[in-house]
This record gives sequence, structure tokens and C-alpha cells, in this order.
Amino acid sequence: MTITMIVVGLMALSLVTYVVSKMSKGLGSVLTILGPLVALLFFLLEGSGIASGSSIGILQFGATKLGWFFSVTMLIVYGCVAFFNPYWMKKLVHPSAYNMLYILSLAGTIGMFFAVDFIVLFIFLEIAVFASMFIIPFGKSRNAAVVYFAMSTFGSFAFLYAIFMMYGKFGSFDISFVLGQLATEPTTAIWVIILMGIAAFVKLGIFPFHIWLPMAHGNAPDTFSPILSGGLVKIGAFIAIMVVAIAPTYEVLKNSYEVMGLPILIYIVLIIAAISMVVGTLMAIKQDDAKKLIAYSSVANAGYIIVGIALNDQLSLSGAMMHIFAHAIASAAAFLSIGAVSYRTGTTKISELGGMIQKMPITYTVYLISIISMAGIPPMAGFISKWLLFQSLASHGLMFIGAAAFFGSVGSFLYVFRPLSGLFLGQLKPQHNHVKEAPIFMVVPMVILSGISLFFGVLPNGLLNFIGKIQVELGVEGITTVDTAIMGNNGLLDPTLVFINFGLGFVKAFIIFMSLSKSRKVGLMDTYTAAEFVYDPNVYHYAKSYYAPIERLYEKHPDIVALYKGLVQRVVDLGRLLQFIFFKTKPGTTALFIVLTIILVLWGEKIW
Amino acid sequence: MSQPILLIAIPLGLAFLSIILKKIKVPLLVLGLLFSSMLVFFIEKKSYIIGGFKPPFGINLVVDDYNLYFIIIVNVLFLVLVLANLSAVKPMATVLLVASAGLNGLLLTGDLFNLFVFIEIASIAAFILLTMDKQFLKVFHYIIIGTLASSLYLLGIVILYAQYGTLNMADMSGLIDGGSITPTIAYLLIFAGLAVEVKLLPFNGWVKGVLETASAFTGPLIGSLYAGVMLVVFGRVFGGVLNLSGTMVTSLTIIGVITLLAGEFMAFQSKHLRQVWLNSSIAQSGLAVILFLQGLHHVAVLVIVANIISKFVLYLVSGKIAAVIGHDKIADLKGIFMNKKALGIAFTITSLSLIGLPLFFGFFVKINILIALFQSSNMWIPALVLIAALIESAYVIRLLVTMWQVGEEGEKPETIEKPTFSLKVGFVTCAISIILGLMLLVSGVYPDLVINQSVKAGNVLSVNDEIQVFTMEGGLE
Amino acid sequence: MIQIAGLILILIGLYGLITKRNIIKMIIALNVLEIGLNLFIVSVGYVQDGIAPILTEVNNSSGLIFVDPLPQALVLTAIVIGMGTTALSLAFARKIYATHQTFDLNEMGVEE
Repeated sequence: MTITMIVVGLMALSLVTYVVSKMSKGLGSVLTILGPLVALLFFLLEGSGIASGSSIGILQFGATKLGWFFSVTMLIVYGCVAFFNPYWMKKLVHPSAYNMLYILSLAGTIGMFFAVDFIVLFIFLEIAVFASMFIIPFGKSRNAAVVYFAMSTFGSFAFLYAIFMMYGKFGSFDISFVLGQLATEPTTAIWVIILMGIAAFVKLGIFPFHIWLPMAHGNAPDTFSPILSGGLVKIGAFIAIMVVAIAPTYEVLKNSYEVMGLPILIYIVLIIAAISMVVGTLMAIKQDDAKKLIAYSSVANAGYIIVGIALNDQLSLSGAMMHIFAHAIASAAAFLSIGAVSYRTGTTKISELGGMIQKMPITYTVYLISIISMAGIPPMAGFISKWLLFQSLASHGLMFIGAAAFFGSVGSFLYVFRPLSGLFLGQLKPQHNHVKEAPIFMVVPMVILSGISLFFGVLPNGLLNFIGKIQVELGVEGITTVDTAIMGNNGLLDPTLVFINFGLGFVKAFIIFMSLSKSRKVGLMDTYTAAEFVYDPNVYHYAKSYYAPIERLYEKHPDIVALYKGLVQRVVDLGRLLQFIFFKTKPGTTALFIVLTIILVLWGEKIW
Repeated sequence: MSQPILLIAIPLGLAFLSIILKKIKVPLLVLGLLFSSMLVFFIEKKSYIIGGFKPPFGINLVVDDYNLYFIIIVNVLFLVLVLANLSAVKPMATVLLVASAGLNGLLLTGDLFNLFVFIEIASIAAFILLTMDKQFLKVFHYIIIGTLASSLYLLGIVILYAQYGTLNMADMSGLIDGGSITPTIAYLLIFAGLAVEVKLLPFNGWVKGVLETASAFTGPLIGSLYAGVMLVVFGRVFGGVLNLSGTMVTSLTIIGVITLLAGEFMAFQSKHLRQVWLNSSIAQSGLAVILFLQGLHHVAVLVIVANIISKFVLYLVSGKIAAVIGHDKIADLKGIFMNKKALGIAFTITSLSLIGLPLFFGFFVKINILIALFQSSNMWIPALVLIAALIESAYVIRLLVTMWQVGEEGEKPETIEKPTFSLKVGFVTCAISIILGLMLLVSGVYPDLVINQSVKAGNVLSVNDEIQVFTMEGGLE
Repeated sequence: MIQIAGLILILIGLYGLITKRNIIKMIIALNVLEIGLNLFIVSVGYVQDGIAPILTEVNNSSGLIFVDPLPQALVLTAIVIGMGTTALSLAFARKIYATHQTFDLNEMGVEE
């Protein structure tokens, strides 16, 4: 199997899925599972040396390790999430269209990762964007789709403009050729880097372009939020790697003003990334909707990824790539567990849920593992990536960025515990007494994703060695590992050892727990009310004023959404004004405009 | 048999005949249009002398790569449009034949004064056809402005005649290229005359009144076919005949840019379906005019082709929706396609092509516009074109999402009942929309034929060997 | 001289179109504009001391000066077209009067 065959095959499959879904919804949704899994199988069997295949017209693909890494990450997410699709067939308004667009967006992303030519890259990027855009309104919000598409198109057009600036200079769309030439044209190069950087920021959801993430992720159908967060935002990371690592950015910027030993542009990017971490964290802390909360946490995590990519050295780039992988898996799993809860209860609002651990223990465990990974606690994959990033930040001496990163990490404890305690722990609502654990085919993919998070947290070296090879391919020194240990700048990390220690501690604690006398189960109301009468049960919900003291610190924060709303309102007002001026009902006005325009254009011209 | 004059003469003759034979008006109309749509496939590309006087003394009709494909598109779509509205056309059969003759004449003529005559024939037919919508005051606006415009155009060509002593386009073009004097005022008057018809701001005061209430018949006719033909004429005159230079190009381009941006701004705030499309047509006209003025004729041709086809479907469907529902307020059209998926898919494909998404024809139009603009080392215009495209994407997507989905903001669709009404739109309309939508889809996957043709068309106006286009087969050429 | 007269008429017509709010007056202004235009066109073809460009027994010599016949042909066409437009707009004026009971655009109120 070649890449061309896989991409074209997936495109064809999307049409087939539509036809099949028209006949049988269930069969169509099974195809959405098989498609990614079969593609994943091919990628894993062929390895990163997969043949690129002959070109079809302009559709030409080249196998790269970077593309392979991103594709496999994407396919794991798509494949696991797809298991949820059959359960959502009844809930969706247009199930056949959903199945088709699901596969089409996958085809778009895979095609994009292997494109050798900017236009092909752009085509597949846009396919992925518009396919996913049409799925979002199947969820709770219609506006979210429009905001997502408008933001995304803004990024795409910035990207397109950059492509054509390079085309205007070098007369080619070939990615490696054009980016290689960039160093010869420093002025163009800086514009290209800025524009492509904006594109990456928009897709990844970096401040101030992050507003679409909570809207789109929070309101998309529960089966698609994991794709958006785990999969599609990583397109931005791919573009960012392309800008920094493939394009000779550091070479172009080498004569520019330097801050802390870094070119000013890079430092600005780092500051923006740091703002994203802080903003994402703070906003996530105060969310009541679990999906919006994870969406804001994606904003914060995107900040880490950008920091890693922008520094572009041995540790940071490997940390960024590890984080891309770890966050994709963990956030997909977190969204899936919330989705499973939503499947059983119909809501994702923390304040409307509680005590789900009693009814859905496996879902709870999956959520727990994924948030541990997202918060960067050992022994999960997220810890490895954060450790690498902190290593790099420390060796650059970037204390402000480092402070923001620490703030984000500490803040992530705060926000991940909010759903944990409000949604899974606490008291079970009476109306959820009959809720059961999620169906087996929803549990399996969640457990697989958790397993991946755990596995690469304990034994990350296989993955890190591969990331090292990608780094060499990108012209950066590869990350080095010794046995099970990872080499940092000021010491080494042995995740396996950490895990064994953790495990021993856990076992010890477990033995103590089991040897002591059993706790007595009491009715939930007993513990809360101390025999007092409950007037307003909501007051006793864990989520009620959960982080009130912290939230109060920044409750009057400026809202970036207002800025965008204002911008849109200006466009509307200007349109109204123009329409008012030019479309009068009286012909005389139009005649006047015609005469005035003629006079105006003639002004200063030689009439004869 | 393959005389293009028949494309004008037959409809005109049948028009007279239809006044006498009132009973078989509609069959005559269909017959005439059918004949025209067959004939267009057999026309040879050359200059045809009319009346025995050789050009530049006599009038001639020209068929070349530039207008041949438009002749085919316009004639076929005209027939299709009449077939889709067969019940509505009865009182207008005669006028429609005149309109067909006028449009063909506009495309074919090789003479500037003859062009004026056809502009008048076509516009008078349009005025009468627009009375179908019962908006007399608004059409009166169009009459006044349209007549003023053609008077300005006539004044312009008379000044040119006084200067060069010819009215033949080819002859004039040669003389202008060799001459040393630029009669700026004449150019400007001709520009103003044509700008009214191609809906450039601020010449287009008539457009809103006429098109926002257009029916499924007058909408595609005026908004798509007339608009497209007038743009072709604009390109013929300003791309092929008049040789603009210096500040004139800049100032007229600025008018085009203002039109493009203002059109998109106005479309963005529009709350009614047809109002959106009319503003978007204004913007697209502005785009085509910019490209013609910048000498990028081949992409301008692409823009026109894409615009004719997509606006045809959009006006047709919007007009039918307005006729069935009784209004076209977008906010009240929630989920309208849920029970009429085929029509909805055709509408969606067309609007996605309009905003230039990949897999659809509009994408290649957009890419080739950018290639052409960057090749002529323009930096600002592509940026503005992209901003316009961004606004366009936003409102088109907003519209599509509304029309496919039910439910207020924050509601889950599964909790809402599907709308039970069905959009009663005839089979013919659906079939036409789907076929045209499929054409956009097919040419979006394999656009090479259309693009190569447009390069040939552009070379008719001014030969440019360095044109690079982006096609599916072989990439850059 | 006659060219200037034609141009002045065109300007008068334009002035009328821009300032008048009465439908009939606008149609009249349009007609004034067209007449000015026609005058201008004819004047373009005028040649000093030229004779009518008609082939006759008497003036059958190539040494004679003819006025340009083409503008005259143009004017004939333009007059016919102008008449058609005028007739059509008057018909519209009648229809508008039937619905609004007035010819004055200001009195019709805003149609939205």
C-alpha cells in the first residue's frame, strides 16, 4: 500500500460510506471504524519507510518520518473515537453526512501530512477544515461552526498568501525547494514566517485566536470533540514545525535583534505561547461544561507545543512532538469519557452531574489516567513531554516563559480536578440512579487510549528514538536515550524506574488499605447534611462555587470574544452604511453618483 | 447552417411571429431557444460579415475562443431556465425571444455601435421581463439609470469615432495601439456606461431594488445570464479594444476593489437570501473587472464562467424557496433542506464552489487568480481579494449551516423535532440544480478543460505567452 | 458650435435627472439628454461645405466633399431606440401612478 493509495482510498471510502449509510446507518458507521483502523494497520506494517506511490496529476505525496508520526497519531485517535459513532447514529440529524465527513476529514489530514507541494497541502488542509466544519453544527451550536470556519479560513488565507509570496519569488510550489530558498530572500522570508505562523496559531488555537476551540470543541457532537481536540488542532502543530524546523527560520532571523539569546520574533512567539498557557488555564478553571473545560486546556497545551517547536533544539522539539502525541491521546480519551457520560446521561455540565464513579467506574478510570497525563504527572506520557520542555526552558534560562509553563502545570491540577470531583465524585443525582456503565465497544477504545498513555509514560524510549530520527530528518540533533533512560541537559530521567517506584508505593498503600478495617457505606445525604434538612440540594453539589476564591481573583477579566464580536459588528455596520448610501430608491441619487465618479476619476487626468 | 447571425435573426423573427400566432407562443419560444442551443455547437470560429460591406465599413459578427464558450453557456442556460419556469413564461414569450436575440448579439457583435443597439435591445427586454415581479418603481429606477448609462456609452463611442473614424472593434484596437492620443473622457464614459450594467459601485443603484425581489425566473436571468454577458462585453471592450494605461488603470481598479469589498461587506450584513446573492454578484463583478483592468483576462474569464453557473443555481433555488415559503428571510429558513436533500446538496455544492473550497471548481478559480496576480507582482490586490473571500466564506457558511440545521443556539438537534413541511420545488428545478452542481464538482476535480479554454479566451484579447495556470493535470503550465 | 449646444443639452438633461423627483420630469430630462446626444453625434459627422452623401447624376465626381454619413445613420438608430425607451418608461409611469396615485417620488414614501 502506498500513501497515494491510502489517501485516495480514504477519499473514495468517504463517498462509499455515504451511500452505505443511506442504506444502513449502522453499517456506515462500522465503515468509519474500519477505515482508520485499516489505514493505521498499513502504516504500522509498512513503517515510516512506506512507499509514497505514483502521483495522480498534481496529487503527489512524499513519505516523511514527520508525516508518518503525525498520521499514526491521527489514525489512532480517529480509529478509537470511531467506535463511538454507531452509538450516535440515532442522535445525529444527518447521520450519513456525518459518516462521510468523518472519513473525509481524515483523508484531508493524512493527505496534508504527506504533501510535497504547497497547493496539495492547502487543498487537503481545506478539505479537513470544511469536512469538520460541517460536523460541528450537528452538535449544540450553529454559530460555533461559523466561528470555527471563519477563524480557520483566516488562518488558511494567511497561509495561502505566504505560499503565493514564495511562489512570486521562486516560481514554485514545491515545499522543500521553496523553503530551502527562503534564506536568500530575508524580507520575504520574514513575512512568510509571520503569515505561516499565524496560520499555525489559528489552527492550534493559540491566544488570541483560541476563541474557536471552546466554541467548536464544546458544542460539537460528543463523538467529534475528541477528533477536534486530539486530532485536527495538531494540524497547527504540523504547520508550526514546518515553519520553524523545515524552513530556515533561525538562519533568516540570525541578524535580528536578540532577547535572551533568541531572535526577537521567536521570543515574541514564546511570549504569545506563554499567554496561551496562562489564559487557557485560567479560563479552563472556571468552566462548568466539562467539554469546554478540556477545550480550554487544549489552548494551554497548545502553548507548550508552540514553546517546544519555537525553541527548536534537541530537547524542546522532541518534547513538543512527544507532547503532541501525549496530548492527542489524553485529550481524546478525556473527551471520550465525557462523551460516554453524556451518552448515558445526556449532559456534559458538571453541575448537572455527580457521583458517576459509582455507575461508570471504568469511564472514571479512563478520565483519571488521561487527566494525569494532561497535567503532566508521572507515570503518564504527558509527564515525559513536560519534563523535556522544562529541561529545554531551563537550559535556555527563559524564566518568564518557564514561570508561565509552571503556572499552566499547576493550574492544570486545578482544572482537571473540577470535573473529577464534580462530575465523577460527589453525590449521585437521583435521576442518574439507573445509569449503567458505557457499552463495551465504547469502553474498549477508551481503555486502549489510556493504555497508550500509560505505556508511553513508562516505556517512552521506542517513541523517543523515533522522534530522534524525525529530528535528524529535520536537521536537529536527535534526542538520546540510554536503556530506559532519557538524556536531558542536566541529568537523565528513567521513567521505568519512576513507574516502578510509583507502583511499589501504590502497592504498599493498597496493602495498608486492604489490611485496615472496611469503611462503612452510608447514604450520601448523611455525610453532607449532618441530619439537617436540605433546602437547596444544589448548594451541596461539589461543583457549586468550586473554585470561587480563585475565580474571584480574575472574574472581571477582559473578554477577547467581545473584541471579535465588535469586529464583526463593524463589518455589519459598514455593510449597512454602504447599502444605505448606494442603494437609494431614487434614480437621481444614482445618477449623481455616476456623474460625481466620472468627475472624480477625471480629476487631474488629461481629458483629451 | 452555421451562420451565427441566425442566433440573432431566428429569435427576432420568431418574436414577430409569436405576436401574430399568439396560441403557439410558448412552443415557438422553446423551439427558437432549442434551435439556438443546437446551433451554437456548430459555429465556426471566424469573423462573419453582415450585409456585404467588409469591416471596418460594415458590421461584422465575431466568433472566437473568447465568446464561443459563453455563447454556448448562455444559450443552453437560457433554454434550461425557460424549461424550468415553463408555467411562468407564457405572457413573456415574445420578450424572451427578444432577450435571447439581444444577449446573443451582445456576445457576437464586433462593432461598438452595434453593441450599443444590442445593449438597448437586451435592456428593454429586461425591463419588460422584470415587470413580472410587479416592482414598477424599482424597474423604473433601472430604466432611467440603464438608459442614462447607454447614452453615456454612446457619447463615449461617438467621441472615439470622431477621433479614429471607425467603430469596428478590431480596427479600433489597432488604431488605438498605434495612436498617440488617449481620449480619456471617451474611455471613462464607456466605462461608466458598462459599469452600470456590470453593477460596479457606485453605478449600481438599481441592482438591489430589481434583484432582491426577483423570482426564480428573473433572478437567474438578470443576476446570472445578463450579468455574465455584460461582464463578457466589458472584457471585450476594455480588454480587447481600449488600451488603458497609467493612472486610469489605477483609478478604475480602485473602483473595482471598492466594489469587491463593499459588495462582500453588504452581503455579510444581508438578512435575506436574494439580497446576499445580489451583493455577492456585485463583489464578483468587481473582481472580474479588476482582473480585466490588470490585463489578466484568462482568470477574469474563469471568474465569469464560475459566477454564471453558480449564481444561476443560487438565484434559481432562492427564487423557488421564496415562492414556496413566501419570503426569503434567512433566519426563518432553518432546516429548510432537511426534507429536500437533493436540492440542498446542489445548493451547497454551488455555494461552496462560490467561496472557493477545494474539490469544487471555485477553488481553481481562486488559485489561478492568485497565481496571475502574483505573477504580475501585485501585493495589495491579492490581499484584498483574500479578505473579501474571507468575508464571503463567513456569510455563505452561516447561511448553509442555518439552512441545514434546526434548533436554537445551545440546543441539541436530537431533542428537536424535524420540520415536517416539505419544500415543494418542481422536479425540473431540482434536476437542473443537481446537474449544474455536478458540473462544478466534476470541473473541481478535473478543471483542465475549462482552464485551458479560458487561457485561449484570454489570449484572444491580448496575447500573453507567459501565462501560468494551475490545473489538476501537470500542475503549472 | 452645434457640438457645444449638444453638450449643453446633455448637461441640462443630467441636471434634470439628478434634481427632479417627478417621474414625468425625469423622463423629459432623459429625452433632453438624448436629443443633446443626437445633436452631438450629427455634429461629429459634419464637414465644412460638405454636401449630402447621396450618389446622384449631378454630383458624381470624386473631388467633392461629403459630410460623414455614418453618424446620421447612428442618430437614426439612436432616435428609434430612444423613442422605444421613452414609450416604455411612460408605460411604467402610468403603472406607478396607478399604484401610488402620484408621480412624485418624494410622496411615494420609502418602499422597503
